[in-house]
Amino acid sequence: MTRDLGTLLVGTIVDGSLYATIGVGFVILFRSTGVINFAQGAFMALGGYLYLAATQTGLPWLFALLAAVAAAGAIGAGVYVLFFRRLVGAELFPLVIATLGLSTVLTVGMMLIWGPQIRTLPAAFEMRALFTVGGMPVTALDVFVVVLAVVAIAGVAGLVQGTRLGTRMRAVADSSLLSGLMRIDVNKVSALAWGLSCALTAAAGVAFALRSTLDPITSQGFGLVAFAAVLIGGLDSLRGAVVGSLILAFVQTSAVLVLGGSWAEVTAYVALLLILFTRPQGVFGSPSVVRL
Amino acid sequence: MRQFLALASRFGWIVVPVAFVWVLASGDRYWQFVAGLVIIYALSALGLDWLMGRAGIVSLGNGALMAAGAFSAAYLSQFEWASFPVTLLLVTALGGVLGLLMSIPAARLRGIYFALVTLALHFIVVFVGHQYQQTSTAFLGGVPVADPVLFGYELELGVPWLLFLGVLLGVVWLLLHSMYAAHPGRMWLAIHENELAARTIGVVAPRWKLSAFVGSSALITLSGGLLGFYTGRVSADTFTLIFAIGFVVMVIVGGQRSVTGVLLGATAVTVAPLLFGQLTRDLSSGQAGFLGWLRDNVFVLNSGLFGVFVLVVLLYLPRGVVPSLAEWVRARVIHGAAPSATPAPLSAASTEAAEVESGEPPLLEIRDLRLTYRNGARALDGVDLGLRRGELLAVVGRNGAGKSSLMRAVTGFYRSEGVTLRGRVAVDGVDIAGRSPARSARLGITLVPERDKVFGGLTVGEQLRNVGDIDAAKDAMPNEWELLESRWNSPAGLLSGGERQILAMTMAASLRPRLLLVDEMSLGLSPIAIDRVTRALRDLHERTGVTILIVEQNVDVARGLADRVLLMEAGTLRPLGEPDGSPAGAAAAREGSIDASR
Repeated sequence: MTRDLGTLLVGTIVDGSLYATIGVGFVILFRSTGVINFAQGAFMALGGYLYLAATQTGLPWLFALLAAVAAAGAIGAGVYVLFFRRLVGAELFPLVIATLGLSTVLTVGMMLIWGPQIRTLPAAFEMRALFTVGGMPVTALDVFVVVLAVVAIAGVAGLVQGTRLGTRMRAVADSSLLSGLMRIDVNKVSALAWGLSCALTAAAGVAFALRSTLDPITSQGFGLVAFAAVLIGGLDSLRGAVVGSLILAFVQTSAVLVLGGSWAEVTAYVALLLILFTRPQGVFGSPSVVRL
Repeated sequence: MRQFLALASRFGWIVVPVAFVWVLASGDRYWQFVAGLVIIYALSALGLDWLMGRAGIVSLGNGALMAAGAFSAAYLSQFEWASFPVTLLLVTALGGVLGLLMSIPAARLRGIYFALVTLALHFIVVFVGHQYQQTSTAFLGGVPVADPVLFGYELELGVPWLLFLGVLLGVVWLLLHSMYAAHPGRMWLAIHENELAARTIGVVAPRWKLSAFVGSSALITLSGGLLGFYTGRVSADTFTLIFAIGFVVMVIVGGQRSVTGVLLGATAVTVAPLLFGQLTRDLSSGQAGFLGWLRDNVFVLNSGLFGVFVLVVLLYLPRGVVPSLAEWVRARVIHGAAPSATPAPLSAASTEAAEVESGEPPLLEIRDLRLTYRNGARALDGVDLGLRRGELLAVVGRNGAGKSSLMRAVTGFYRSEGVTLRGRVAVDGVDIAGRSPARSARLGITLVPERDKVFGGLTVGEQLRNVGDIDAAKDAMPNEWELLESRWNSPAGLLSGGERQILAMTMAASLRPRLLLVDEMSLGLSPIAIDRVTRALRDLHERTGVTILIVEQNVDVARGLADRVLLMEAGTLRPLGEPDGSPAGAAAAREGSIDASR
């Protein structure tokens, strides 16, 4: 019984942190460009592969992580410059479909470069338990995931609320036309937002691949579930993304404990439906977002 | 040529039946099977277009509905009493019920939120399908569906199946076509264009949305049932998210609100990977190098083909292939007929309006500017204008005269707005026509738009500090600074109309523009607010000498403020107050004289 509680607690916090890192990436892109990016799952896998490539050159894990995150950020910004710059001012749904197209293109690219087979990343940490919670061992990797989430969330929150760049990001999301008229460099701000969002997602992707394995497809389901977490919290709220992630991770971990592993994904979507039916704007979202 | 294009745009749909008959007669079993699949997918895509293109409800639910149709067909077909036609009828009815259920969340959720409900439903339905398959080991490779028997004849793959599907598609096509051309089609279009406006003119939006849900879901579920019978086995593995998205891609690629477009989209998305695969196999047998690489990776490349499709179409033909083609043809046909329709040479009055008295070159010079929106509406029809450095010019005119279009034409449009601009717009002698708003803003052209003139989600302080330049803002509007400071921490969306206009003008002025454009400066403001805004703008002009162009509906305000007032009508400019016999000119002149006699 205590072991179950321990599993529940650790699972909620670790999975929730991973969802939150991806979710913050979602929110920052949505809040600055109005794009709901369904290619986040593909960017997670991309992060994993870039990390793998970096470690193969002999870089120690921390530098490999930084290199992978930076490269994914650059690719994200490049995606904006190449494709989404032309779609500034387009309607929401074509943008969503465009990100779905991007997702398949990225997936194919990864399959061509790295092949479809499942790989295991070289362990960055020793996998023995640092300490136990109610009998549930907690590894250095688990701690790393939580620290990553805290750093990502704190950094992004500081950026959006406190800085000139953050305000300008919100201004671009508010109206890209008016931003252009007010001499905000919409392209620069949007490219930065894409880069930042993809970098965060890639970091989460590295953590995801370190915890399990790496292939071009598996992480995509996880990326979508992370989006469900964001919606549960509220699409435009950082706090919502964090709380939604924890709620979803709790529901999923409980479902897996009670019903078995195959129920993990479907419970996430049932939870999403329940939230959308009862509180469409999410737990912390601002109602105005519903007027899309 | 023009006649050919006109004929082609009218009878282009004939390609579809011709292709059908050709495949039917070819005797090629493989392509006949593929053609059957295309028709089944096309039925599903037509259902989606009904919902998305006509009623404006976006959905990713095709996979879920088709899975429901396929599994229920498999389940029902094991019973003795459930013949092929009865099973299809029951499956279609089930689809209608599912549509009824889906319309419940759709009443509360809009746009992308509803699309996400359908996404969640997709995963839930597929999960249920997987669980059902696990109830028996015989089902693990897919639940078998009984062989279809139609009126005593067993429907075999090849010609019989294809004929059956072809007739079915023809019937559905005719039904949809007559429905879209009649009352229901117009109701859905009204809701699609503007639901609020549709409701106010008496369209019962919920009932029409419900009917679109029931009808389209029945069609999509039927196509799922057909898919089950056609392939003989139903497996949940078929209905991936990519499968569901494929139908959205078909509709977007082919073109929403075009039956021919949807059929083309379904064909392209289904056939392109097969053709590509065959082509690489034929080309690269036994070869190494690039072709060999292509052959080894064709399966992977094919899985991403529709991603490329959708990106290319969204970026270059945002309305889809067939509507874009039809538009191109229409433009050709109309363009060819144009000579008789070109307007008469510019009147003496409008060229006179452009004359600039001093010898100095104008700051803003507009020559023969013509602007056409994507839907073909022409907003500017040969505008000439010269604006001296330091001048304050007002353009008056009624709603729809083209005033705001003139302002936007000076600042430029985004590519996604799909506006065609012809003529010259020069600032300091540099032609800037066709530049994006951001680029012209960097040249020192600043527009205060009619709507969305401030960032509603940012506080007054945030905008002035982080978007504009706070010191320049204080310099530009010293008399209004107190007002702005008193609302410092309030989101700009909560300001009154007058306060909003002051904030917008302050922000614009803080950029120290070379040319300041103010669209509908006094529209919707109370007389007191109009006075305040007018005073602020006059102060700004007198103190900084900035060149200003304003658009107004209120002739008194324009006369009181501007050095010169022009009248815009039907996309052309002329000086205000010169009766030219036209009612508008006379009316404007009357208003002008009232103003002058005051």
